[in-house]
Amino acid sequence: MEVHVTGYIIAIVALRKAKDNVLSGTAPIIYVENEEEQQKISMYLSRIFKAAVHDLENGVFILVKQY
Amino acid sequence: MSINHELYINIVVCGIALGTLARFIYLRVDYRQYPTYPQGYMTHLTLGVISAALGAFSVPALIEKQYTAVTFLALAAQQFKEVREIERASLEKMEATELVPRGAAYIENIAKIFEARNYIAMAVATLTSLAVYLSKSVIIGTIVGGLAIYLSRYVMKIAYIRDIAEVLPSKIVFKGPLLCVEDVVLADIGLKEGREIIEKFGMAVIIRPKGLDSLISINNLGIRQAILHEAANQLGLKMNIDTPELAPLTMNNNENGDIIVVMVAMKPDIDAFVEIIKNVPAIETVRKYPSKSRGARKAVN
Repeated sequence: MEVHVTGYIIAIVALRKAKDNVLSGTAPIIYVENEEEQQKISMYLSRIFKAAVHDLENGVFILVKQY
Repeated sequence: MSINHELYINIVVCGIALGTLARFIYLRVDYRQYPTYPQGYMTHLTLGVISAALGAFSVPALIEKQYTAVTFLALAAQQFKEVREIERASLEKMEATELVPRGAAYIENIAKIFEARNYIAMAVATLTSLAVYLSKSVIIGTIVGGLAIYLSRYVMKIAYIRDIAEVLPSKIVFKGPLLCVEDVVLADIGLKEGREIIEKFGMAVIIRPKGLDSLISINNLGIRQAILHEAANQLGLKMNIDTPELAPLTMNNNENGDIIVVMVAMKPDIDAFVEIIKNVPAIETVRKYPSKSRGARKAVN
């Protein structure tokens, strides 16, 4: 039987100006300069990890892998 | 009491023929749950012939006081249970290859239907050979068998979503990153690219249950998974394994119990989408009938 971890944060992509909104945890935090870069980086990570990107609307994006 | 040779042949052949015919008819009633490939037809037809033969032979065996023949029927039942197991195992194995899996409830339902079809073949064969024996006429036997096949449709009748709910087209609205349909939040889509694709190709429908029974039934995750599977397999998905944000979704509206279905299809045709959802089987194995309970009736009134 295969065992999967479900619903965990793979990475956090945060604007540098929103760095007070994130604190280190299990997932790596990637700081970016602007929203355009944030979109680009999170898109790349999403494709690599096959994870969905969620916008927390405070300058922080989280990448969550459901299964 | 013994039967002469000619009548014996008539009884058995007639029974097997009509029993097999019953199985054959059920092979082609619906496109979704049935093997469309020649090998699948072959497997199920062969088993159909065997079950029809068991049914047909049981009548002359009983007449000749060969009561041990009944044990063979028990053996047959065991065999058909095996058919259910086979069908379930093969569908479960294929789940991993599906972008949108069928779900356990749907698989169970399909497997049960497969099992029941063999019993139908057996019952039709038994009735036919009994009729041939009693009337000594092949024609009357055939008529009785045909009637049995026709009536078996009532036993095998399945309900569809259109019978338990209304399906209405709706619209996807984005509130910031939130994907909403009728003020219900379904998902948080972070990527702009994903939002653009969903706005362009996304479709939303509302499934509005017709009563308490359908409200509870339609909320079952098994039925919802079956809906997603059917819609995804008939319209095609834009989603790939690396774009989970385009995955089809269902959500219940906790204000009125509606179910909202959102899908990003290759062919975004809302009318086709509504039609497909209407024709998804309302899986009998997970349907609930709370209106038959006194307590639940009180809650409604």
